[in-house]
Amino acid sequence: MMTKNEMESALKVAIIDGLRLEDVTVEDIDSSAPLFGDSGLMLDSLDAVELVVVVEKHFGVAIADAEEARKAFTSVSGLADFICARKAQA
Amino acid sequence: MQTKRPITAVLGSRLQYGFFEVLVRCRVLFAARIVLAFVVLYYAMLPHVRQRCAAYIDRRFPRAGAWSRFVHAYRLYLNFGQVLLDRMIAGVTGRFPFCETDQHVRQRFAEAGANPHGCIVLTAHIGAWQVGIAGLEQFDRPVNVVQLHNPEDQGKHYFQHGRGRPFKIIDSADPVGSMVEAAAALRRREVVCLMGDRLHGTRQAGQGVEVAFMGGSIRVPASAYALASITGAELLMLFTVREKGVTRVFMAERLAVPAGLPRRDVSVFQPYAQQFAAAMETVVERHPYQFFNFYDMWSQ
Repeated sequence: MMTKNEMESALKVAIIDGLRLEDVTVEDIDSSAPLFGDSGLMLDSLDAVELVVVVEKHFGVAIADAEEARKAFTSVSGLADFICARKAQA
Repeated sequence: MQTKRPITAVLGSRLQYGFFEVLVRCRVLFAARIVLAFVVLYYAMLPHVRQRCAAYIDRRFPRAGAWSRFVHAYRLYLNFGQVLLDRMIAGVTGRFPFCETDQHVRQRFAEAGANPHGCIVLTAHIGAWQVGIAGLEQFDRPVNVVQLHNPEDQGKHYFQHGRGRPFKIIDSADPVGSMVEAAAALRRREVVCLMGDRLHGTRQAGQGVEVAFMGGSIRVPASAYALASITGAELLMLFTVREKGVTRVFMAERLAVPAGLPRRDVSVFQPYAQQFAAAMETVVERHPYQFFNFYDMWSQ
């Protein structure tokens, strides 16, 4: 079982690779910064679609709909919490 | 980026829509169309209203004089009014008139329906697109439309919340949920409809791609092509027009967007966007009074 820090690091790597973010390193991503919107990683709605695939592929957690995506995709830290909570339920 | 407000948000007060609704509910549709002709004439006489379609009229009718330009503007707005009235009739009565006469269209949908990743319909603010998209439910699958929610548009109220609810709206302003919801619908093999002609100033797929259109260049969104490439869904461009009072599909053609395109470079979608723009031009050549983008697309 990963610690939260390990989960966040793994998530950052998966996000950079899965979303093919150029010129972004793990160090550039603030765990508490928003993933979407006008600050933080500034991902767009199509990134959200790819992020659903990344989370399922790398962490085995399915995000079924937009409601769950809104809850999960707040920040890297928030997403790590979401994944940990879902894994704990399983 | 500043965005221009769509004409539907400006023309037509709640009172005017209410008046037409009374006529529609009383089933005096002929009277409603007569009143509409005069209401449109009033609006067409306002210079700032005519100005909104001037860029299009200039390109579509380059040799038109002042009087002809007025007539073209009037006919354009009258057609727009007719389409809005059709939409209201459909919303109020729950009947969605859709006349699909072409076997070719049915064939295209059968092919698209065979794709296990769903079907994206790419259309434009041309003709009776909303009534036409509503008619797609004839193909026995739920229809979702990704569009900007505009609470000021009085006319949409009748259609989207009236009887029958012809399709589900996915609000494109939601940066997290909109495309996730669209992708989830595609996984259920539903139809997802996106507009391919207007940029709404979002960061979605960058700022769109530039295409040649009616002798100039415009920027159009790349979201539909990107979504098709990510999900593997079928991409069908489809235009519905209002012809002799009947809504019918004018064109339904497949766009073959390969899976896994590097979408960070939005120019990879340019060839498909150009195909779409060329198709729009074909529709506009045949139906010049059914192009409902009331702003200067060429100055963006």
